[in-house]
Amino acid sequence: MEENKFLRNFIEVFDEVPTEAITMNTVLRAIEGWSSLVGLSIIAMADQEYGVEIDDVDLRGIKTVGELFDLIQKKTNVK
Amino acid sequence: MDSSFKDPFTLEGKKILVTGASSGIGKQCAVQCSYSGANVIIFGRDADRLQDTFEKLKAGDHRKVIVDVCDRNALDSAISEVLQHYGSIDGMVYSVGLEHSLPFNFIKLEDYQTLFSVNVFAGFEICRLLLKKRGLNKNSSLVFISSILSKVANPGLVAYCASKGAIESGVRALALELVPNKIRVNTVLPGVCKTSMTDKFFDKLPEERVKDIIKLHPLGLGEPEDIAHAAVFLLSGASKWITGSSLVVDGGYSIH
Repeated sequence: MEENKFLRNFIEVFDEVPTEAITMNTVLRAIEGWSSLVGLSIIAMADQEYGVEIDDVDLRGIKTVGELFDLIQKKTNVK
Repeated sequence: MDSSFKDPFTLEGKKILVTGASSGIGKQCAVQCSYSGANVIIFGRDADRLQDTFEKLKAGDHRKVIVDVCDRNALDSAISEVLQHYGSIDGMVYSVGLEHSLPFNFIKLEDYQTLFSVNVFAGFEICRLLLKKRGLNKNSSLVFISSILSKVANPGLVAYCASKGAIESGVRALALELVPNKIRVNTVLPGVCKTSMTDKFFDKLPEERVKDIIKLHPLGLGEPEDIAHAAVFLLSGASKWITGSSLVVDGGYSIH
């Protein structure tokens, strides 16, 4: 799983967030426009792009974009 | 007491087909129909869970058929099998439904196709097959379990809401078309009920959002039996002057 590609997928979830505003250290819930629908979008992105199922309990345990990357990577490897 | 009084709410002597009877609302509809006096034919995909429903039915001349309602050939054979046994039937509850929470940007064409195949097309196809095979008695009643989300929107559910809206529009047209056959067609619009489908839906949402949804139901979340009671009413003679309507059973969700 490639970090830059993941970041691009992640940024696509948001409508109006500038690309450079998001790094692996960005705190998810601090991103402007964060909402429960964005949470659903992240779940959908993990499923469609990486074939990985995550739910809200998983999301709740995650603080940063990097942690989300790690979780998806971990789940991809388990498959 | 007038001895000629007959309970209009009974399903005594009626033969009712319940699809999606393996779980949730469909299961409860099947059980309730049997306790209201009907002989029940249950359709479902999962053999074990369908057997469990079958065992919960009150004694009667019931049948169970394992069938995927989206498989046209299998559906045709299943209905022929039912009609061979019963001759004709008096009604149906279509309670097959897929939930699909997905933000609009992620919904693919295939998602709409899958959802509409299950939630809409299969139900109408069952009606068509029953009519074509002359399997519906006069005064039959067809009940589609739709959703209050066909009227009240929710983000992340565009495909689901669209499919439930399609059922209702279709049902109104079908109701008019079947007036000459003396067959009534209605929908029930449930709010959120405590079922495994709801659990799956809630798992994807943040805890606060789940709490909000519960709060939006002034009478709390529904039980499958709340919907089953409405379905039995629409199947019974008590609703003989009701067709093409949508019965809201949502714990007050849509009052807001």
